[in-house]
Amino acid sequence: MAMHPLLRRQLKTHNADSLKDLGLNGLLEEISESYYRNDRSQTLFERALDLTSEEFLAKAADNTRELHALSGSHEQVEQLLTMLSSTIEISTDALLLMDAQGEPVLFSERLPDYLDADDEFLSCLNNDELIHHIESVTDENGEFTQQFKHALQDPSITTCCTLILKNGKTLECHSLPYQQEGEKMGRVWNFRLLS
Amino acid sequence: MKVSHIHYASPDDIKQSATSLRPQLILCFAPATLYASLNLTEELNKHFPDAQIIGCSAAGTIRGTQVDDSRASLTLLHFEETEVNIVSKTFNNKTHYHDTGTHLAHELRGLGLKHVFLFTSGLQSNTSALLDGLSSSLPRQATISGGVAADNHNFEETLCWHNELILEQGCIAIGLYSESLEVGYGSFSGYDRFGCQRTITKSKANTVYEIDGQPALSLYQRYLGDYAVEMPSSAQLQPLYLLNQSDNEKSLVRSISGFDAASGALFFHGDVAEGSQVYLMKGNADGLIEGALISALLAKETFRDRYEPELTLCIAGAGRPMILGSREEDELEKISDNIGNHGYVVGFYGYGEIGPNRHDPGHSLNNQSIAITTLTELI
Repeated sequence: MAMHPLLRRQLKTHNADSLKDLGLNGLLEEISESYYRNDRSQTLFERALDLTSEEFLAKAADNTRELHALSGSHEQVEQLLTMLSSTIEISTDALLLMDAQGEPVLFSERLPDYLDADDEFLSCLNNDELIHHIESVTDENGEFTQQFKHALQDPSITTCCTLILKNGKTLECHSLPYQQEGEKMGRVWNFRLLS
Repeated sequence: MKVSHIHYASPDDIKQSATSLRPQLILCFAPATLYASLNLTEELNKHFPDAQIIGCSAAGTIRGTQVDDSRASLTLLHFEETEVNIVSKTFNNKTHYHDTGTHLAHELRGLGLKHVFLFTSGLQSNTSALLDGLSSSLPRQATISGGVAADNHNFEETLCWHNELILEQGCIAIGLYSESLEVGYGSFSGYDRFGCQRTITKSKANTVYEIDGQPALSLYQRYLGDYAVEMPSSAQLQPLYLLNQSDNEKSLVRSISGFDAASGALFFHGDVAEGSQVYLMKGNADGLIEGALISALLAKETFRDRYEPELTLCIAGAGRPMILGSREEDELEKISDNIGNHGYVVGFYGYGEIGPNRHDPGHSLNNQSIAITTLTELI
């Protein structure tokens, strides 16, 4: 391999060409090889730095695009939720949304009134307490409780029964599962005031 | 256990060594072209008739802190109690490496098997599958170490040998059977990963076709730039970090052993599973020397102050001298200084390092690392 140009230049600058005649060729070759090795390392490192920077910048741009898309989707979801809430509240029926474990997730404003309960009480109920509450405010013959438990065991069924409250109201009660991409996510209960 | 070492270029070197040792085993590492041309077997048989000569071709041999790439390195081993059993296998295009490893294990199994040294040819073979087969059929207490043969970065011909038998495609395994043999080990690389995490999107065994949906070769060509024409040699500078997602400490380093320009595929010394997460790696002299120090300290942890190793076998990645240049002696100094100067430090630069590490006491194949194995007979 030819002597590294930088070493050749340095020897010339310092009038050190005579080193070759002093039997130091081996040393000079080793120094020259070190220069070449350092050139290669520097070239590869700089190239790696450039290419990885490009790749990271491209990934950052992709991430920004995805973030914008997600942000747009989030706004759409918020709008849909507002529309859905308005639709639910305009109905004369009361609605209760439960998750796959049968825990209340959401209810419409009319539900506390229909079930003789306050908002705070309903919002922190679990399914056992809900059944217990309904049993306490109705002349329940066990039909609702049975259907409620059956629906927990078999999320695919629909139910229908009548609740007669101690305060004289009569409620028709329907439920059906809701699902997302084929997976059962929970159940919607609809309470319609008959009297 | 008694050890002696000879740098061999001519028969005079044996006479000059004036060794009185009667070795049962001679570890011989040498440039690929040298072993046959030196007529070594015949010459060594004259002086050491009881010795079995085994070893492989190397991209430089190690003796103490010296690296030599023109002579054969002969390490003469005389065991006091340890029995030696040597088994070899030939590879061809139809070789099922895992099964071959299993067969090796069955032939090596025996009472008191303590350690297996494995040396394999370095091109077109799947060392990790061979190791998997070997280790899965060996007794749990038997450790494995060794290396993959190399040539001088030409990637043309690598050899393993056992006396007159020279294998271009094959492996040699040495079983060491003893109650008194103590084996220590440590392994580390010192390379660092860089850049984006990438996914192996198409691979089969040790052949990688696609990384992130692109031909695997194109990634290396892009990163090596003008140096891509020197592949696979230049690719040793940027090995692949094979991430173990459940335990980062068990991640491996894999180097390229060849490529196919037509299909854009890269060949590695060990398996790279489809779906694996990988990074490119880079190294610098200081990092590699630090890696050698860590290898030595890990090895020392396995024997601490209980004894001084009589033999330290270092198998180092052939890409290391490409980065270290003359400083390769610095990394060997770290090993000698920390393992102790009592015994012999020998070894070679190869295309793969086999050794137990603290996270995988059975075996593992790495590239561009330093795998240290220490041997001592405690009698």
